[in-house]
Amino acid sequence: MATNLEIDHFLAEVERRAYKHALYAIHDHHAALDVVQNAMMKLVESYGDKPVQELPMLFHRILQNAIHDHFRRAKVRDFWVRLVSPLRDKDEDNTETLESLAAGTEGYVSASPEQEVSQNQHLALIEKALSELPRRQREAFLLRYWEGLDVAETAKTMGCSQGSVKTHSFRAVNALALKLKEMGIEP
Amino acid sequence: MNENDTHAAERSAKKWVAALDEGVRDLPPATCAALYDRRRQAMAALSARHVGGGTLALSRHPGLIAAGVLLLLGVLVWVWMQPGPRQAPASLESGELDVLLLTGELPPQVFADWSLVTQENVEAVCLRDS
Repeated sequence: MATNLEIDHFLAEVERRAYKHALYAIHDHHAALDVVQNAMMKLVESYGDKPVQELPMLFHRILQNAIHDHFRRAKVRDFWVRLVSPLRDKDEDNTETLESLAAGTEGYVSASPEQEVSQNQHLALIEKALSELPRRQREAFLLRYWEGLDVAETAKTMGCSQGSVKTHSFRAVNALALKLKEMGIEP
Repeated sequence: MNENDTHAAERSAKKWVAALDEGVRDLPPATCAALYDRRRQAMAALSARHVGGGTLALSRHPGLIAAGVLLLLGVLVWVWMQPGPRQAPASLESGELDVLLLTGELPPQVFADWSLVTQENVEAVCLRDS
């Protein structure tokens, strides 16, 4: 069983990457923070008594579920909003979408012009390409290569077969290479 | 996908992941602080869980609680259905019963079990006396 200190260290080690996972999927800073918090709470409430070795896989599974839940809730919310306000102006919808897209890309670009060094631009392009990947490909890539889970663990976390994980990761890498090449970055 | 493709893909992936790691290290301080706050809240919840562990552990097993409640109800029903100490038959006056006991018409055990005082034996005694 993991001690409180071990859980704290684990969360401290993983929280920033978890935030980025959520941000690439959701494109909203505050929603990403909420999703990470929900995942942390769920981990400590339901799996606080598990061995520390099991925490990474459990946490990422919870995080992926929390991200999916976010989209499910957003879908239900949108349904009711549209139902309640049928006379809503179409132009208003378009404006909101553009605003949210603009807000979503804020995280990928350096905060100030002074920080726009080539490394940051490179990172921003990689993050943008990542966020544009299909959901399953992005999850497979992040879990396999960024989190360092093996194929079996990734499959368990994503709830799919190991073959699917290999396919998704390979397609993700190819898609990223293609996108980055279009942006002028050689893989 | 052949082995060369896989190796090339992994090389590219490692390069991009290194860049992502750099990005994570350079997160804005406000974001780091927000994440820290959220982690503290989660850890506080964990500590609270350890303090009230028994209650929380029980509340996570509603089946156990339901079984306990059913068992308690069963015991209550069983106790309620048991024959309790009977009252003296209402048909007897208090003096009559004392007389019957003193004359040996009724056994002394009736004090422990009033069911021994049946309507038949009382009526028989009363008829004989009259």
